[in-house]
Amino acid sequence: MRPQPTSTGPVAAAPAVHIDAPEEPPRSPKQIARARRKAAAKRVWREYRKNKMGMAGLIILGFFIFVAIFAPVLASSCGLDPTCPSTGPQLQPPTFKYPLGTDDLGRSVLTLTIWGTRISMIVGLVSTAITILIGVTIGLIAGYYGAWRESVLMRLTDWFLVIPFLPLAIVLATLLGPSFYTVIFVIAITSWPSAARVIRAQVLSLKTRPYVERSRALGASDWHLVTRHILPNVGPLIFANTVLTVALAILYESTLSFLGLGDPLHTSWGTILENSFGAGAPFAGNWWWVVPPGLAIVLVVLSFTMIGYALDDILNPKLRAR
Amino acid sequence: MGGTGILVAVVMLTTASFAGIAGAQSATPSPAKETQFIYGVTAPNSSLNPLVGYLGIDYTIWSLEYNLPIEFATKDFGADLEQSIVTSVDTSSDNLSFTYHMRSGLKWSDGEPFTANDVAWTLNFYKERNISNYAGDMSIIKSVEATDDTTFVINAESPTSVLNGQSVWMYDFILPEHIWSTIEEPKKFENVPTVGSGPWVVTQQKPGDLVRMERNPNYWGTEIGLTPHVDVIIEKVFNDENQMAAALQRGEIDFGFFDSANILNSLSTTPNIETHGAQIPLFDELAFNSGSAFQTNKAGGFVPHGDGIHATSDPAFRRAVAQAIDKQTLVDKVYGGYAAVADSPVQPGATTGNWDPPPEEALSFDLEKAKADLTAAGYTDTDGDGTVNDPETGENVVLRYYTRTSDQNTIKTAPFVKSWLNEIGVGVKVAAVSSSKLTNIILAGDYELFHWGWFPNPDPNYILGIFTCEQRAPRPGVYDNNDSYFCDPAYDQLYEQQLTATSTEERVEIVHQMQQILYEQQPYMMLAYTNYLEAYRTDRFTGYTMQPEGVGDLLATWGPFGFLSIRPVTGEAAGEAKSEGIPGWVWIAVVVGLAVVIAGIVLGRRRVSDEDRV
Amino acid sequence: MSTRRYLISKVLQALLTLAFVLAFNFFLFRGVGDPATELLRGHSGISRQAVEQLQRQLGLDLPLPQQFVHYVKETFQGHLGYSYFYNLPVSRVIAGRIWPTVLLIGLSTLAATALGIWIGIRQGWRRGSKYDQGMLGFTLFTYSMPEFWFGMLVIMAFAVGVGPFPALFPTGGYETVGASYTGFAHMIDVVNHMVLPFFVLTLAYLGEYSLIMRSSLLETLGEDFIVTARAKGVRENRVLYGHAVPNALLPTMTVTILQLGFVISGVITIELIFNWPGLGLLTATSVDQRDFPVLQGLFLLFSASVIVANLVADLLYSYLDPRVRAG
Repeated sequence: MRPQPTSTGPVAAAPAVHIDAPEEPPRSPKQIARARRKAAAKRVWREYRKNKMGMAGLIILGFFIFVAIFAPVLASSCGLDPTCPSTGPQLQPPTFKYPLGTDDLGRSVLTLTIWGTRISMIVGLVSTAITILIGVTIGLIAGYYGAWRESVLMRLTDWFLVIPFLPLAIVLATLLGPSFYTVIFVIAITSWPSAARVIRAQVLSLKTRPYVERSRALGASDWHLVTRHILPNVGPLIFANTVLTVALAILYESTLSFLGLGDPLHTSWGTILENSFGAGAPFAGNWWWVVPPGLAIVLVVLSFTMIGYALDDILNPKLRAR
Repeated sequence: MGGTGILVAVVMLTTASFAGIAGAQSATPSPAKETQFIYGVTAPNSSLNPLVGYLGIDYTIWSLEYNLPIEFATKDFGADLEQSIVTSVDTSSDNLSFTYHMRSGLKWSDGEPFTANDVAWTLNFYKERNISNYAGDMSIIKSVEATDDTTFVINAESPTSVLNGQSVWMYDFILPEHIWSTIEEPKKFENVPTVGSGPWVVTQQKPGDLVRMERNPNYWGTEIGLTPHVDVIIEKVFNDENQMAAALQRGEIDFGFFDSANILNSLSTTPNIETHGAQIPLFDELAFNSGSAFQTNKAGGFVPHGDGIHATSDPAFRRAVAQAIDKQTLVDKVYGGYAAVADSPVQPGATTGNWDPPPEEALSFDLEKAKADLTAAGYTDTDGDGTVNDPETGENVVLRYYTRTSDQNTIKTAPFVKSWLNEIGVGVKVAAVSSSKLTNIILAGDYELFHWGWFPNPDPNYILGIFTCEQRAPRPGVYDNNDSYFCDPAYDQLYEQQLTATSTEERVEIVHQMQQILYEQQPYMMLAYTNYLEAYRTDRFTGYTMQPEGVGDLLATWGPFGFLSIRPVTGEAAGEAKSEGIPGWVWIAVVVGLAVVIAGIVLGRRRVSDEDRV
Repeated sequence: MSTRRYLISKVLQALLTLAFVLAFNFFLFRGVGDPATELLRGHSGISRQAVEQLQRQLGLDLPLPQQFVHYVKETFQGHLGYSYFYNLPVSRVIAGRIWPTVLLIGLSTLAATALGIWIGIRQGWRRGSKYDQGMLGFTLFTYSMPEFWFGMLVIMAFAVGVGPFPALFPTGGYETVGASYTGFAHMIDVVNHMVLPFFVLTLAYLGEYSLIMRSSLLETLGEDFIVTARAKGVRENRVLYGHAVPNALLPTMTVTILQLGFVISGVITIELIFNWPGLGLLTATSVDQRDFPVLQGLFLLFSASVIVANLVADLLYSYLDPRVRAG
């Protein structure tokens, strides 16, 4: 099992961009801030484009998103139903008609893999969204307010971190019954502690920045500080973190489905592997039933990871090449 | 530099000494002088204690260690008085007391005499402690007394035929009193090593991993020609079938019980391996909710509960739907051909013999007839949306249909059933849940249809009993067996009668009548009698005998006779296991090579550092 | 803060965490529903009376707080309860499974760490080089793959022998069944059975460690003291192995120790696939069998191990990095 991406240390905020403004009518602070952010984003994108790893990841991801969206066009959903006339002979190696062969009910593995994209990616994305939401909230509160709130929340976080992910996930999923909602819930519940920790660390380092202290001296409210200063600066790194979390979530979903905790009546890459393993595919040498879904998982997770690391490389100044 | 040199020297010295030891020991493992038979199973034993365990594989082991009063004949599950500890039975004229005559000179594996006293003590013990495995059998027995060393008398609660010795009723293992009566908490007794009376006894158990059985030196059967040809039996637990199949292929095990038809099929093409789909009482069914929300019969403290729809409580509806299920297709596609179409919860090989539905009443697969019967019963599509409507409520008839995540066959069956039912206009909502969740749903009565199965005993009493009104779950959350909520007072009456019929023929007749009722009422749509999937090596052991004859289980796990009949293929060395992998000396070479490489890197690095000056 | 105060505070925190784990453990499994019915389903003699009897036997008819107190008391006496499924003390069921898991996890973590660090160092040192990029691709790939999928491929390739691959090793188990090997021959037998799962686990975790080491090294190389060392004329090799690596190694080592929780998770699917009779397999089968006392015991064992590992990592870190103690 893979852990959450670990923070590589306290991180400096992205340095403010100094725009040499040409002669223009004075702009409102909001406009200035927005322009600054747009320029920063452009700069990041420019850097990103130079990053081969990041671009490769983006292309691969794009391909899978395309497949997920256009699944019904690429392969008829009837192919998921064993009573559909399109099913062929059982357990056939790849042929022209069935490019990735068939499973034990005669369904085309290619169809299964294409359709599996949807659930695998949706579950990964949704569970990550929830994870980050919880993690950011808790990490922000803990890091920003400090004192007893921080102690309590961090204590809670540490406790959850101690319990190993998969045993907890298995037991929860068994209690809640096999379905993808359960999987989403379980992933979120077991992943938020890492996210909270990382975010808190970053908030902490930001809290002591001069401009934050200056703002506070000028009487800025907590809300203002959080939304105008902390979040935007922590934002990019949270984003990088999020991308990496999606990668893990997709891996987790495949593991939970493999162990029989996903919804067996629907197709995700994990359930395809669960079926193939349960039917003895490795032993019988039915490699076409095993390789494609796993390869798909690898590629998607890889793409998210590469994007995440590329972002991390760009946004984390300490990692920049000398 | 010197430090590294010493390190390298130490590494090389160590591996050299390993090589030396290897040369001395790795030649061949000490050859076993015993014949060893290893069979693989896919789930661990629950317990080797006959009071507590309940799985089929537990029964397999107990049937090798203990005796039933009367054993199941290999041929047809009949009473095998020639090979049992009991040789004859006298029935009193009032059919209330039965005198059993035993062989003399029987011994337990520890040398103690095995007498009628042990039998009486065991049966009374089972009854007093209400041991659930045997409670059904004990219900007709009032008490048991040993009148002398080889005679015991069973007093029945009411006149009956089941104890007359013409069929096997007591599926109850006889325990040694001198061991069990001394144990304070019998249910916590691990029972290893076992003192038993069968041809083998358990000598070692690694929970969840393996069980080892060795020959009982005092086995009485040798006197009548029941001689074991195998010295040691090992049951090995594989938590994954693929592993077991590979082990069979490698020759690491001699026999395996499998779950997946796919694996069995690929094994059947392997040389030296035979496969067999054994017919056993195991069956799968689609069960209806026959009306947990509507019934007024209060037997067993029943209170109507649940939100099952009205349609499934209507036998005419159920009969119509039953004709929309193509059981043969399911047998072929879902069970891989390793099953037989079923029509009754009492299997063809039961002790009461086969029963077939009269041909004019048969509910065969016929979608047109199913649709017609539905219409005739009043279920038509009144609102034109494709789904028939219930004549009483006007609502669309949609069945909540549950499959179980622990059983792939239920998952695979669902799309077929859904498709057929939709064709005749019945709506279906399929869900997959865990077995325990499904149990709760059933107890709450919140379902219309589910897919499950039972593994009945050779005697039909137990499986017939689950359809009695009394065994319906009375309220949500309180367990009972009648998971289709079937309730028919006439059926219940017949159930009492079969137990108290005074002749075996009479009993058989009554049982057949009950099967008829169940067929007409269809609380269960019987799907298939599923096979035990068995595969074994032909180059190791031979002499496998099926129980029942010609079609059944090869290791005849209802008694010791199957295991007793196997013997090593002649010319073969004593079933020694072959190990697989890379021989020891290659490993040594690898380790040495690795050590040399690492040493090289370490030394090399130091040298480079000298040259690498800024 | 003095070392002793720090130590004590850390230990107290660990104990507090353990207490939380105990409570969480208990309530998690009690919230399940009735194990009695689950245990008896399919049992040939099952009936309402049997279920009620079992419920009484298991003490499930007592009020929840009472059950909890009883649970805590028993745990401290080392009684982890009685397995529902095996009808044996939980400690007996768990005990026999510890060694295979320790063996597998221990050796593969060692190999993965050693290899990962070595690769990570070379990558970080020569960032951007072909080696770096190549290894990056490789480690990213192994990091992204589900370990059980890789296990299935390995089984197909080296145990079953699909296509051009040779069937070299047994497909699973700890040792050859029924064989009576002793001493060295037995060790070789176990080694042969362990090769494939060991290989899969090592490769699966290697990526993570090398990536951490790499980024840790890169970060360290950006530090001021490295610039200083170079300016002082220290040899490159010395800069790397004498200054950069030790500092980069520290966070890597502590992260490695902290990964224990995840290694435990990973080992579950691998033990399942290879039928390796360890704690991971026991976890998977106990879930299937709804054997809650065993699961509780396993949870406790896993969490306690992670707590201890965290404690060790904390103490190690504080011992080796004096800055932390002040914080």
